[in-house]
Amino acid sequence: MPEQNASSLGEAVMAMGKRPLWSALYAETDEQAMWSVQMNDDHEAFARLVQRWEEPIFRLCARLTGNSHQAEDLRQETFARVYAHRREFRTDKKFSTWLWRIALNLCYDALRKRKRHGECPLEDDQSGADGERDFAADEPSPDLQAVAQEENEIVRQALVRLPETGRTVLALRYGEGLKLREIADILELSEAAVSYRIAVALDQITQILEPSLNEGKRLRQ
Amino acid sequence: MNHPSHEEWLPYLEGEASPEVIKRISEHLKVCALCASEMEGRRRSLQKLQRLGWPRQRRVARNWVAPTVKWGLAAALVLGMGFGWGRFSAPDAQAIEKGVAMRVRGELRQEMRADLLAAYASDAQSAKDSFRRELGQEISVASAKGRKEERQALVEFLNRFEQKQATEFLSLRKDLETLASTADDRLQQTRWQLAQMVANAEPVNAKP
Repeated sequence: MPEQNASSLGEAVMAMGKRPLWSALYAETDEQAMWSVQMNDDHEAFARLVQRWEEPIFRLCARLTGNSHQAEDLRQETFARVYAHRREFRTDKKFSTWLWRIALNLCYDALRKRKRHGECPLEDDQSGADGERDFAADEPSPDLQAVAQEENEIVRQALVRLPETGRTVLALRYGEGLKLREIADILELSEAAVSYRIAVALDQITQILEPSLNEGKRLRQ
Repeated sequence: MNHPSHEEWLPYLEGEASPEVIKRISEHLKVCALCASEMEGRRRSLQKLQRLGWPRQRRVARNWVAPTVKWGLAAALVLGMGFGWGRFSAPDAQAIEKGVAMRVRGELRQEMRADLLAAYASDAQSAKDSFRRELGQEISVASAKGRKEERQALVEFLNRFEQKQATEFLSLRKDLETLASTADDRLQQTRWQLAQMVANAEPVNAKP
């Protein structure tokens, strides 16, 4: 998570780019940066927020839409909306919750538009696998990469077949590693409801990925 | 049989269940093959989701390198085609060499002729008009014949001219000697006549 990444001094310095070293001695919270943006139209503070959050937001949008190009657009739109509505942010609330919610709403809008136009949600390019290779410390052999790519593609297709609610909770829980409480805040649900949705979504994706299990489930019912 | 609910199996699957729940579910899975296979299926799905290569941002370097390589290959292809076309369509090297040699030879000939003319023309006092004219004509003829012939012609011309000059000089000397001799005779004759005239005039003037 971004907060966790920025917690260590070295990582904070890296994340803050050109900022002086002394400024890394204290970890500026997202809420402090957003307050600065809200009160002073502080562009630098806004740039820091973008720097911290652009990749998680991109990942979420990509998982929900299954399209990295659309995810790029949605990420930009998310931050544009954050800046445009900066006065509406309440500093007693968590910035990340507000940000995730904006991104999710934009994703839902995009998915609905796409559904109306009958477009295919999945892209054909291998940007996911390529991106993974970019950040991998130890590159697996080409054969293993091919197997991993194939598996990734199957899981991505299965994920896109899930309902939006299931896709969202799986993306937030297993993609971003959010706690049940955080997901509950973002979706404005109870933790129990989130837990239930995750369990249902996990069962659904398992049925898609492992059709042989369906027979046993049907027999039990 | 009391199968575990999602409130129980989800924390169990994620490793967040309490020890009691872990114990109860573990025991249940030993006796319920259906739940065990389902749990295994969920576990595999969870692992796949966790290691799923989600689409990531493309690095700037990737966007920079790929077009550069593409443009580099395109440039190499165009240069290669140009080089090949040039190799096949270029004129023969020997023909070019011959042409250049001829041109250089011609230019050298012109320059040499101009230098010679200038050299003779600059020495205006010593050179005669006829000499320059004749020499110019001779050089023109010689240059048309080629370098070797030119030299030969020049040598011949110089020899001829020297002979001519020598002949003219001898003739002039003879003329001058004749003239000097004639002048001397005439002088002596005049002197004699003057002496005669003086001798004839003296007796008339001597009588009182």
